[in-house]
Amino acid sequence: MLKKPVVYRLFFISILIIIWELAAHFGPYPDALFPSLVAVVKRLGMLVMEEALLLKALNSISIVLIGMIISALIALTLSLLGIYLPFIKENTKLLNSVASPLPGIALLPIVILWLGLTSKAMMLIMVHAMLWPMVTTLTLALERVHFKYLRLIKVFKIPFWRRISTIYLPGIINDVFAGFEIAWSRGWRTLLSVEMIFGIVGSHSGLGWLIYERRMYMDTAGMLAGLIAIAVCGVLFESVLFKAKRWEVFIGTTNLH
Amino acid sequence: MEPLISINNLTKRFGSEKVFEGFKLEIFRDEILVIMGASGSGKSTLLNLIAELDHDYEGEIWRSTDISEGVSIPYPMVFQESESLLPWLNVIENIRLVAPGLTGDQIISLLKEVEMADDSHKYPRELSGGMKQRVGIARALACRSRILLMDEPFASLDEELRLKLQDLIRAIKVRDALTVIFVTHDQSEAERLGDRIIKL
Repeated sequence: MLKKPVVYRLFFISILIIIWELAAHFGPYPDALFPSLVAVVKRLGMLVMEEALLLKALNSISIVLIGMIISALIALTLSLLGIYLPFIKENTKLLNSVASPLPGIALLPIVILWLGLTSKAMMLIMVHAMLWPMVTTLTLALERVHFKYLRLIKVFKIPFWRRISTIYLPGIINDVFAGFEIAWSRGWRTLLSVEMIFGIVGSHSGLGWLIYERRMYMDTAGMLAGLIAIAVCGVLFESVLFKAKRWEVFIGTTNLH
Repeated sequence: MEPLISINNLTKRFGSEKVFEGFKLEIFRDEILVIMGASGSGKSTLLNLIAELDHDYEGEIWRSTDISEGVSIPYPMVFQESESLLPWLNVIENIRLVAPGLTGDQIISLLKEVEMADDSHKYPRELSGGMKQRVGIARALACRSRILLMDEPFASLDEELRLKLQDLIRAIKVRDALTVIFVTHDQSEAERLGDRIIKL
């Protein structure tokens, strides 16, 4: 038996589909501008069969993942050092407050001037987009764990590396996932915008470029198929990676907070 | 009788506020010294100063060399329940965190002393408040120190459990010839447990 929220969603989606189809068939726009869902699904299927869509989706996701890992490592290092070195802590705060409000796309012209249309430039933009939310999340989490267990650490003279592996990292694991989640949504949006401008970097291109490319061929169904692919990737990525509650149970941190 | 710890003319400030001024105290071997006082009176501050966690003071805190001889953690502490155990480690791992050199058998034998050997693989979320504090006591005992510091360890427990754990502390103190410095704000707990009580 289906659960109520699922029924509500299916009902809502069905209504949207009906409205779309009515608009496509009886609306004032030609098929080339407003294709029916059947045409969009067919186009989606074709793109999948040609492997273009999957390759582009994988390419986009891999760029976000690499950027996320680099951002996480930098954020973790800065946050850990910040606990013990006030110089690092204060300057990380300063950098965060200055850089965080800057959208990655705003840096694009200057990064292109400096690094050209290269994968390095794209990665720099991606790291900028994802680093600062992770720094904010991890710094707060580490400070909370550090001060909560400060006396334990001092009284029992727990060595630095054991502190990191046994107290800090397990203590912030849920916050790392929360940071990943925020970083992912920022990174994913930035990447798609950047891909539309960068086009093909090296021999690879992503979903952003796919949409842009379809526009040049006046392939509205292809563009819509690209948008569906972007939404599906986002939903899948979040549901696979960011079920932090499961991790919470898995590592037994339910009464940490 | 020579004291184990002697505090003379201690002055401790937090900003412009003086918590202690010209404070004196002697702590002797094999006694349970209870430090009592209202919230904010400086009980935990005094414990931190004794445990060498805070070096920002004026005056003298003299400590016998007997305390640190042959032990790596001379001032183990039992905390309040909220800051006690790491929730992602089980009982054995929580003890091994502070005493990595102990074998599994040695840890189990410590847990037997506090009647927790049967729960050695449980996580803190599976333990009651009293059980967590027993593990906290076992963890402090794992350091094999001559002194045991306790910072309101039973504050969140019910009366019956408190009495049991107070008896446990008394028994351990006699058996191991420990000096116990116990902080509480509870008058009846102080009277029941303490060989000597000081009020701040």
